[in-house]
Amino acid sequence: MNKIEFEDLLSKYIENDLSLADRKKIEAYLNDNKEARNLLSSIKKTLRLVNNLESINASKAFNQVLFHKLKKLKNRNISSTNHTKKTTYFGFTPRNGAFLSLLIVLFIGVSFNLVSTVLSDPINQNVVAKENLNNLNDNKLNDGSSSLVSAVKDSSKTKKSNRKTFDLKDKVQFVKDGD
Amino acid sequence: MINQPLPTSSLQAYQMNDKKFQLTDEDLILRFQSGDENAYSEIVSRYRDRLVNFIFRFMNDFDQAEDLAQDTLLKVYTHKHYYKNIAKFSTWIYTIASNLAKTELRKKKNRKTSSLSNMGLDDKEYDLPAADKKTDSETDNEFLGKKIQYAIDKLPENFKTVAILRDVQELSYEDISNILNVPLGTVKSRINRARIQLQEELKNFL
Repeated sequence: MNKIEFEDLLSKYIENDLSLADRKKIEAYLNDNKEARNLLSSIKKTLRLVNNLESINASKAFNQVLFHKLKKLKNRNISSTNHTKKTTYFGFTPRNGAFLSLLIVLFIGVSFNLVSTVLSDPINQNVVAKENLNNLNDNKLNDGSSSLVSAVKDSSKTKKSNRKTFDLKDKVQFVKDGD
Repeated sequence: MINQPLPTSSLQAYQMNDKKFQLTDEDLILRFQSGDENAYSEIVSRYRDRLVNFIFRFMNDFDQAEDLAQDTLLKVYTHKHYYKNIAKFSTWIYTIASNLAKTELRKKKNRKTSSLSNMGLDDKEYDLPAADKKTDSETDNEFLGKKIQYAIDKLPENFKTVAILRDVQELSYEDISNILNVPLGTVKSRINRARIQLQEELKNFL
């Protein structure tokens, strides 16, 4: 047995909580080791001192203060339960209901205002006018569609003929994987 | 139930009936759970001194110990239905007290750190000697008591709790293990370490 093992078993030895084998080991260690004997007696004395510490009792006013605190707590609970017993409308307390309806009215008012300002804005009016004009042009184009389609085809032909064609057969070489 | 008057002395209520007087803590809390306020008063009278002693040894402050013991008993009142009859009542109440004390001790340490950091060079705290005259043996006992308390205070929180519960309150290892919610082996090893540390602190006074 070494010092660490001895210290680990010390409390169990003092409280008689050891097996016979361990107790014999400790006693053998104590016989051979004066330092261990001193430690054991020192711990026993410490324990005696701590066990004999004067017990601290509650003051005479303890109960009075406690029941005063308890009374306060009860009163607070009663007032809070009274406070929570309120009539509700559709599950809302009057205050919450009023707040919610105010929010709804505000939302409707703001959205109405927003729509009306968008419609009365001159820039938006211009955009609307442009859109109308485009629609009108589309309608006109549809009316003379056959002539317009042929004109478009012609123009595409002229564009194609104007384009230069490059012959890259001899100029471009591809690198083969094998090379 | 909440408006029932509380008797100032629970003993008066329980001394009248011997059977009631022999009730265990668990019986009392069960009675209290079913609305018997006298049972609560009996619990208070059984535990107030034990709780004050335990918390005082932990905090080293009597006023705070009383305050926290009252808070513990208030918690028992407000959270009575949290107690289940599978555990010992003493374990439950000591768990509440130890949690409150630990929280308060941590707050106190933080306050102390901040107040120390704000302290100037000239701001020092001195303990003034008590004015009343005492005999030599009383003074010696008081001095030794203070030294032991100082040694307990110096223990790390884990060791301090187990040392107080075991060596001051004399609770069983099993109860301490349940209160602190740590394995039995851990409790035993902490107690061993705490005792060795206490002995080192107090060896000059032995």
